[in-house]
Amino acid sequence: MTPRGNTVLDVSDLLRIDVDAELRKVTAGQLMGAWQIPAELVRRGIGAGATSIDVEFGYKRVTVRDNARTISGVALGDLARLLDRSQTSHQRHGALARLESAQESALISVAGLALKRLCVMIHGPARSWVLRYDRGRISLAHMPARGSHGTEISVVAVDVGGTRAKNWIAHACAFAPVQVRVGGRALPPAFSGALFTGPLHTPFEGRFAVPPDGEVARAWLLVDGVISTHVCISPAPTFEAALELGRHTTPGASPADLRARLQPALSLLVGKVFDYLIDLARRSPKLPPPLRTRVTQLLLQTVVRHGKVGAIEKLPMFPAFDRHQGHQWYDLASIRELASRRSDRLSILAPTETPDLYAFEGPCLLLGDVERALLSELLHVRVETPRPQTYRGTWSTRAGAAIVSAGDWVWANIIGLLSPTPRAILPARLQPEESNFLAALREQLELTPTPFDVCLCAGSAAIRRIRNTLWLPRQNAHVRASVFAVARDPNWVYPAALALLGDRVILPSARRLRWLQSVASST
Amino acid sequence: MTSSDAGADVSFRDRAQLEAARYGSDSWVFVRELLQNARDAGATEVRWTIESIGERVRVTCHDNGEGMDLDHARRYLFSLYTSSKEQEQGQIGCFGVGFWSILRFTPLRIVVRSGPRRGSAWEIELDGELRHATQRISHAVAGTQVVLEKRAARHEIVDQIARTATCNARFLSQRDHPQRPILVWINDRTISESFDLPRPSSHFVRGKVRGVVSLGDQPRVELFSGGLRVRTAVDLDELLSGASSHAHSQPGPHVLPGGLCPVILLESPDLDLLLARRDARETRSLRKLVRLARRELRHLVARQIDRARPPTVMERIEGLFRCVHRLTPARRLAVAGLGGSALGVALLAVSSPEPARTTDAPPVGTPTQTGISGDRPVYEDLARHYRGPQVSAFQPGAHGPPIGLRYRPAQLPHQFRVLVADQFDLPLNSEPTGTAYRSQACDRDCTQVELEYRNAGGYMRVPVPTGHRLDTSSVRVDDLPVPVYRTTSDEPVLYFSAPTRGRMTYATGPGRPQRVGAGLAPIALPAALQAEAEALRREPVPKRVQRLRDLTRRRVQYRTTSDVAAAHERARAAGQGFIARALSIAAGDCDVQNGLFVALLRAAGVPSRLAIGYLGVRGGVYPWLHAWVEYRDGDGPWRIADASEPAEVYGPLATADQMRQAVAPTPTGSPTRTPVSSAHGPPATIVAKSPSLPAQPQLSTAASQSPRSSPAAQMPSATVEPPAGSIPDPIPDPAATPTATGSPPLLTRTTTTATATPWSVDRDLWPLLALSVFVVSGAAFKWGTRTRRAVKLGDASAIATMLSSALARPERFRDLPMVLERPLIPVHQGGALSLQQAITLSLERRLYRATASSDLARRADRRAAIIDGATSEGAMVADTLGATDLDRWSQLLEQSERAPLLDQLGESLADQGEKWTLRMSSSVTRPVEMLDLRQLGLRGRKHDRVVLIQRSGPELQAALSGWSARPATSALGLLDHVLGHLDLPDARRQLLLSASARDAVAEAAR
Repeated sequence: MTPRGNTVLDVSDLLRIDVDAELRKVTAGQLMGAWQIPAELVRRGIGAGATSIDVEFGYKRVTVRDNARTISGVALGDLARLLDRSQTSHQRHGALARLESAQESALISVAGLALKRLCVMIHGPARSWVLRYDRGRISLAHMPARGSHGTEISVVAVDVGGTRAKNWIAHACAFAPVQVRVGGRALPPAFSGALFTGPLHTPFEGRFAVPPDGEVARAWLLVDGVISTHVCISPAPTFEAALELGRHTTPGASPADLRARLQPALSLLVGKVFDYLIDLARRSPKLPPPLRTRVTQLLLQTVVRHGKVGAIEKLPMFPAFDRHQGHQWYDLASIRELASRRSDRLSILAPTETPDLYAFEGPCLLLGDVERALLSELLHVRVETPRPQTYRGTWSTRAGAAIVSAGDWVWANIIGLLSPTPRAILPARLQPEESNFLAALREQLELTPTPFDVCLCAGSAAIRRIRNTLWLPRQNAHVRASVFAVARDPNWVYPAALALLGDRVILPSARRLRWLQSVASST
Repeated sequence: MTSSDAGADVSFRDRAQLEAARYGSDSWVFVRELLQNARDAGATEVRWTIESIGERVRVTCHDNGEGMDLDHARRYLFSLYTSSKEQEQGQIGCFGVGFWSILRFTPLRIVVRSGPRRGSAWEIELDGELRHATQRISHAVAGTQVVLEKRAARHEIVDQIARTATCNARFLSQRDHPQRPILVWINDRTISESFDLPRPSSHFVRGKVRGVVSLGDQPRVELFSGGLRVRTAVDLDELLSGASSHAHSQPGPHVLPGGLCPVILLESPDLDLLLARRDARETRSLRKLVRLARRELRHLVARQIDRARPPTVMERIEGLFRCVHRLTPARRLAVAGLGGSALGVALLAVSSPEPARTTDAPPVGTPTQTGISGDRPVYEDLARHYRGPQVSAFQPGAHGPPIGLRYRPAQLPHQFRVLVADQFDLPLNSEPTGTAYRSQACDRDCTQVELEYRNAGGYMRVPVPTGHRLDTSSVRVDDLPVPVYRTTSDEPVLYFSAPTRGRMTYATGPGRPQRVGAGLAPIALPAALQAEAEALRREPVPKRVQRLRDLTRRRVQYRTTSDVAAAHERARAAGQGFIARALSIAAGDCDVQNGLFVALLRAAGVPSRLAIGYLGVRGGVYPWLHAWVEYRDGDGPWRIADASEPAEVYGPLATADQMRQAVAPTPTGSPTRTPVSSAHGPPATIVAKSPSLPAQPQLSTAASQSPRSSPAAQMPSATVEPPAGSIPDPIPDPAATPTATGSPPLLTRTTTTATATPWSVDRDLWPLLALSVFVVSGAAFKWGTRTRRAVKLGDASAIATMLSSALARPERFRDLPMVLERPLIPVHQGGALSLQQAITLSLERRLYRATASSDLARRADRRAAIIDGATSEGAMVADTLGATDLDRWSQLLEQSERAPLLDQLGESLADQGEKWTLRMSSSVTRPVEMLDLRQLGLRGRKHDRVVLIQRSGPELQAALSGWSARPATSALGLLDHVLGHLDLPDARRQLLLSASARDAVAEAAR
């Protein structure tokens, strides 16, 4: 009984499936474009257990050969029915449903292309099958087995053999767990430019890498080792990860499904990567400089932006140089303490600079511009670059010195021309204190890079230099004073050398320290 | 409940559920799909009503769209994979499975009712298992209503539907008016929001695409189609496949400077969605959308920076160049081409001689009422001043403005003859005859001329274009018709009885000369030259002209240097004839070349004469005079030949003033030159007998005569005899006009004359016109596809953190160079430094920081880079880059102390040229600190450097304590300590120490 005006409808008549539209939409509606077909065929091969896959590109053509478990004859027949427009919609719909349930989504996608030709050859243990499709004509044949397993799928259609398809397969299959050769050449390994790569086990199996540059954290989501989609992650230090999600999603999951699957695990993934970076930073002194610098930058950027300073407080990430103690490694806590002792100021040099050429006291950090800026922002310290030891006075000073030097040179030459070359006093005729003085002075000069000699001569004239010999007249007031001073205290050879040699020879710093200690002790 | 075609093995319900599963794990996805259907049906409002009916909850989705009739519903709504939207524009859905996502809700009862605008309303009810269907006659309902019933808690369903609708459809827009939102109500609470984001943000629309970019704390990108969300992402790059660029190769604006992150909403109806509707294919539309968003983000950051530090004009120009630099090579080339064209046209306009402005020309025949400009040269008869071909010391650029001659049509390049020379070594033999000029009525191809003139009294030649004749009926002098006479060379002349000045107008037209006997008298040539010319007599006239023109140019080169002019003058003074001197000097200007040319032409049997006049250009004339050859081919009109053209581009003869100054004027009383006393001139009584004539101009005519009447008719018959032997005006012969067909091939200007039409455009204007059309078209195209934006800026607090980030994350700023390049860091003296400049200065240790209170900063050189430490961005950059703190140094210097020992050291250093002051301080944190005052550019300084020594340092303490006993030793020890901490190389340090060392050694020896 139905109320008045009500009509009971035949549901089977009301609810219909438009099979033609179904085929068109299901086959073509799930890929970004035909250029993804080669990578999808590779994915199919890997999923079927292939250990080696060869891809050949031609003009609007791609051929994928693998040694995987073959496509079943039933599936091949279903593909033939799907392609065959002479079949009834009922038969084609049934074929589509069976291929879907057999997870042959790659073949469904192939069927959805605007195909010109298709050849699928499967080599099974018992027999081989060949499906040929040529502009609407379909043939399915079988032949005796040839002895080797595998599948060969050759597709001729628009966009399957173009540059975009080649680029995509090189990109998408870079993480493939099996050997994939394109045009006979193996694909370059993924993360080839990375500074460091490591395995990941949680939240998903995969690998992570520290890229040499860039500021984006990104995860490539794989199904059967082939990239399906990617996700940018924030907040996170810069890294790249390739995660296999095939076993964690339903078959035929769309890229959106994969992203949704990763979403709840993002914080865990970022935490794992952060742990990795901390572990690397702990080993900073042993890391190659580019990786060490990058890890330092990433950790500093992370804590500046997102906190967690405590996690890196004790990591010896920061190289420093001290004139007395040589190279050292500082952690954040030590640097903070160092800065507090110096009115929140830090001396920092670029790692490429030579610290010996700069004037600074205590430790000087050796950091690049980026680390320097991050450290300043993090610790609220002022950064100073030590002055290079290049000060040679004002221009007037330099000009005056040059004139005096030239005058000295001219005068010395005139004197040299007018007066005979001095004669060294024989050692036997030297007073003991004179001999000691000369010996001490020569000992100083032995340490200098250029050979230089000093000799005592007779007379009281000015000190002269002739070639590499400095002539010290015995009766010269400065010479006599120097001899006496050194006789009293041998450590006075440093000021004596300064007084007599000026800037002619660079004196070693050891004597200087000895003299300073001597003066300090005497006072 | 199976498909009729599929048979029993394929369940409609299973298939629909399978497809619904593609939409993701969210079972509330049907909310989005029903909203999408409502939008595609043209709804402007959608109401969701969730109510409890017993144990069940009834969810009703009712839109006010177009509705659908039952046939349409059966064909599309109840049929899986069939969509009516596949071929329609502006629709989002097209897969034909969206409606059946309601199965994910697992309803117990489904009711669909619709009231189409045309047709009857209907209602179909299905059970949750899709086993039974009932059709009812619906109540009147506008639009479509979907009712779902399920056992559940009402509040949970309300929350979930509200959440799903807010996430996916808060910006849902109308199909027919994409800028207008669809109001979505959920139990009387709307979830619709305006397509906008908080400040700072920029809302932009470009064609059918719209979006909003903003800066927030967390990065977020949402992609919409028709107001329905397609995808969310962290980064714009994430929307693309990533195959072309790995993350590390292209830093997208993931996190912006200062921790600011982009928040972006993008909507485009052209997105190509996948079946799951949660991804868009990487089509050109999507890539363009991403590019547009990036650009808008840059624009927003730039505007934000502009707000903090408005750019100067120069910075704007620099920014423009940078924009061009960032363009793709093709676009850069286009911009460069456009700019180059504009520059070229501008240079052409500037460099070309200033012609008379055609736009200034008043209509011919109606003189302006403004009178004659006093500073503009006017036309005068030059017959008395011309003394034959000679070389004038003409200096290019030395000429003034052109005479006041204007003509129409302006595009005709006339050459206005004002003088004719028939012979060269004798006085000018072209004299007024006193007879009337044979007029030629101008019927077509007329040239209207307006001329400002001055006359001292007597005859004045009327400038007429070569090849033209004057229409005497058109001649008006200050609006009065006047008689026109002729010279022996058939030149039209006017007669003025008294000095006068005014404006005249007249018309000329193509015509043949009348009664011309001149042009044939041979001119003596050297025998060889004569023979060479005569040998050409059998050739056609054009060929003769061409050959002789070449011969002329070979024999006499165009050169107007002072030595050539002097040579001609000397030869002339020595009595040497023109031909002889021209050939011997072998150089001269246009009238020397063309004089010889005339002689050769005559020797070759071509009637010719030398014409002197002005070259017309764009309705005016050039300022200088030029000489050319007029010759005739048979009975045709005078034609132009020019030996000075084209290599010299109409080399100038002289200016009229130069010509007048070059020759002392012939005494006006000369019988041959004085028109008044000329036997051929009109009787003086004519003037006296014209009582109606005004005093100026005093013209010998009657004002009442018809302008079209003949000259003879215009003359009072009682006083003037018509010229004897006058013949009727000939009918103009079009074939005889100076056209291209009749002109020598070299005379390109004549050719142009023939092709010009009243509506033609001057050839020089074509590039400008083409460029204008190009620019206007480009501008119109750009205007049509421009990005319209509404920017809402935030406060300026982000600048400091932005700069900080620029230092810490330089890679980020590859996309935002303005942060590095714009002067954003305020300096103490006013103005600002760019971050790039600050980095460079810090590497040179020439970067300082100070506040207004700093004494050192006030005394520093204005060019010193002293960052204003009072500003947040200044303080941040100064801290990071290690700028020298002048505030601190001012304080240190105030607290520092002097000591005799330190003064002694200072003097010792001064003796060696180092003007340093040494002081001790308890406040310094290092053993020795130094400020370079010279580098700072401190005004009024006595020292170059200030060195502060830590007072508590053991070295200073030891030196102070030992100074009384051993002053030299203490001084050396302290100096060694100080110099060891400064930036001196070892050699310099040892040299500075050596003097103190001598004293110390001497002291030790004592």
